[in-house]
Amino acid sequence: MDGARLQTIGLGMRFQGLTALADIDIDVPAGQIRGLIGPNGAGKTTLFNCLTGFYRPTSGELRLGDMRVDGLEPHELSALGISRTFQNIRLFSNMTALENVLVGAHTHMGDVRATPPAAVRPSGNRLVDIARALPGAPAGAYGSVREFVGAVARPPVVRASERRAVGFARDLLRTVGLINRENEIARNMPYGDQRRLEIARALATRPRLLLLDEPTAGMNPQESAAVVALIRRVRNEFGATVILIEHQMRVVMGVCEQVTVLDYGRKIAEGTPAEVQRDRRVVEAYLGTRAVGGDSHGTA
Amino acid sequence: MPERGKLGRAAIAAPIERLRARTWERLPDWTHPLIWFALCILVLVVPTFDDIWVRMFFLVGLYATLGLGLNVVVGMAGLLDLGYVAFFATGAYVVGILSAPDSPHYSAFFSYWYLLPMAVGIGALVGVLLGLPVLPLRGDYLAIVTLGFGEIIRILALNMSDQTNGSSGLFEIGRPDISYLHNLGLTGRSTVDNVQYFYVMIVIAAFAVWFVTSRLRDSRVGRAWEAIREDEDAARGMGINTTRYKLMAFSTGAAIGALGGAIYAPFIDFIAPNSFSLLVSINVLALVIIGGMGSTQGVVAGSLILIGVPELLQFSETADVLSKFDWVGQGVNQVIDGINAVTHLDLSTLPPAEKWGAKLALYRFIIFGALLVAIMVLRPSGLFPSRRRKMEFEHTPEHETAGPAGTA
Ligand SMILES: Nc1ncnc2c1ncn2[C@@H]1O[C@H](COP(=O)(O)OP(=O)(O)OP(=O)(O)O)[C@@H](O)[C@H]1O
Ligand SMILES: [Mg+2]
Repeated sequence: MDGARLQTIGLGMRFQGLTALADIDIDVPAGQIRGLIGPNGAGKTTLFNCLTGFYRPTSGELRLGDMRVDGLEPHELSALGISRTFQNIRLFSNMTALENVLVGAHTHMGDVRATPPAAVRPSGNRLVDIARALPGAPAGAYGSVREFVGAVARPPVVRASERRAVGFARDLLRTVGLINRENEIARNMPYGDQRRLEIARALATRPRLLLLDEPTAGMNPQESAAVVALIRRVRNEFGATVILIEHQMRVVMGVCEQVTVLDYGRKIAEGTPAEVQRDRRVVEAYLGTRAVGGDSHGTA
Repeated sequence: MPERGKLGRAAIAAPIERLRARTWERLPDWTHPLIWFALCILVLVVPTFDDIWVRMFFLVGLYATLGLGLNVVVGMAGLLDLGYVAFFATGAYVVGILSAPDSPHYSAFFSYWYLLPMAVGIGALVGVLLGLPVLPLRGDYLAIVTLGFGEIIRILALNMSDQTNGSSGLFEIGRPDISYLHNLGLTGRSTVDNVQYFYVMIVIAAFAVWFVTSRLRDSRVGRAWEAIREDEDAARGMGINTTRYKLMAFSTGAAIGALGGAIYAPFIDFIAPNSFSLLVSINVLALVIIGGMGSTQGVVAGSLILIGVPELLQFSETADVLSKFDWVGQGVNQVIDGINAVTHLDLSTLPPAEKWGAKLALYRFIIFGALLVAIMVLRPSGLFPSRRRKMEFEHTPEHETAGPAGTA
């Protein structure tokens, strides 16, 4: 897994009358940890939703590596290596911790078949070409029947892939410190553990770009510090590019190499954490809501 | 007095809570092999019973098969389907239309053993076709639309009389030819044409379906279904092509429903649109819920109760047994006479025990309804909740106040 460069070019998102994002140009180099900050309602989560295909941007372009990826479905973007956590935890609450992570490993198990993009016969449609080259079971009815038969008959390849996935999922649970809780039902886990489980689940998709939406929200300083260490480890070990939405300045200063600031759907500043903190517009944006350096803020 | 309502509710709730606490929230693990063993014994001895009993157990087996199929859609993928009868009807009509002598499309070419897989295949296809338009729907909306599908299929069967003989239905549906087994000396008959043979057939089908669905549950496919049930958006974010897996769930459930229909049609020997009413969908859904969503034992227990109990209440055997309890009736009547003597009440006495069977048959659905209500009050998650749901029950109280997680 290697990190991928992310670029948005003039990205915009309008909801009926409301412009949630306008003209966003962001360029995150491969392997960087980028902070994304801004007052409540600035459009940070909306940007994540655009990057993951939950919202279809109303204007602009989205590039991952050297591929243009806007317009793809969430599961296709996930297969291309964009993964995320949610601001208000969205685990599969009645499944065990291990099963949650295994769902994350979905794309990369079983009949994995990634056609090199070069080998795909061009169809004239950019989105179709990308979808054809994605990893995962073969598409369409044939792929579904094949997967069905594989699940029922359980030939050695399927067993082996299941074993590998379980091993991989356990490794990830160990990474986030939840290996002793693998059989616990997600909804019964303490809040901090749920946050970390969500990170493990996101990692299971083998992201090249990992989007973390307030991973330390509602955590005490020790827990936050552990998550910061985890984020750094994730980048170093898994090589993923990371974008981190965060309200606690301590966390931003501690882990982000660059910070992008949004306000009212626009990018108002960008730079190192220290530069951004000194920026006049940033201070103004936060005045009236909350001073920069303000600590935790409520979830959701 | 505002206090009064509260008190009243507590007065009702407390005893129920006590009763609930006394019913096993789950059976101890060591009982599971015993239950399976008992079930196997039951399955094996049923053919020696009277025909009417075997017939009942055939229906239990049929509904258990349908329940296992619907459980894929409702229990695993979380898609509330109220039109399951559509697929049952599809299977029955595929076999009926091609094998009933008075059908416009009768073809001597197709033996039952061609028609069975054809029915299952067409069922799977119909599942995909009906699944496509409802893909974007969730929850209640999905339930209402699928409810419509169940009716549409029935009305199609009624109105496409050139194909289906309409309301007069199809008779003498082709029966499975087993002369091959007969020639090998394995069976006493060369066609499946009595209840015992149909019973064996449905038992084999039920076990096959059980095997397939439990394999699916423990696979990548099953996990994808559960993820969709838990949180469809998060599932999409994790790389699951929800369109594909929802269609797979619909199609799998539909194929199993059609399998049930394809076995039911020759058994009952006559199919007409009215055999495929909403009641079938409701019964199958009810047995899945009463048994405990997502558990196999639950589906078996649910169909035993849902199909077995109303039948049981009207059997002559039940009446015979009851008539032996005339002494109970006499005792009760003496008490009633006594009460009548000392008060000005005029309570009527019980009829003689020979009549109890008839009364029971008459009121069987009242008794049955009360039983269902009692089960759901005492065991809200079903008789045999699946392992995962049981764990939920064990833990919920502790963490209900888990703070910010609650807002997620
Ligand atoms: N689906 C939607 N429909 C309409 N408006 C939306 C939608 N999603 C977001 N918005 C609006 O877009 C704006 C940005 O919201 P967003 O959730 O992205 O803010 P945020 O920066 O994540 O804030 P917070 O720090 O509170 O999480 C808000 O005004 C919100 O109401
Ligand atoms: Mg947000």
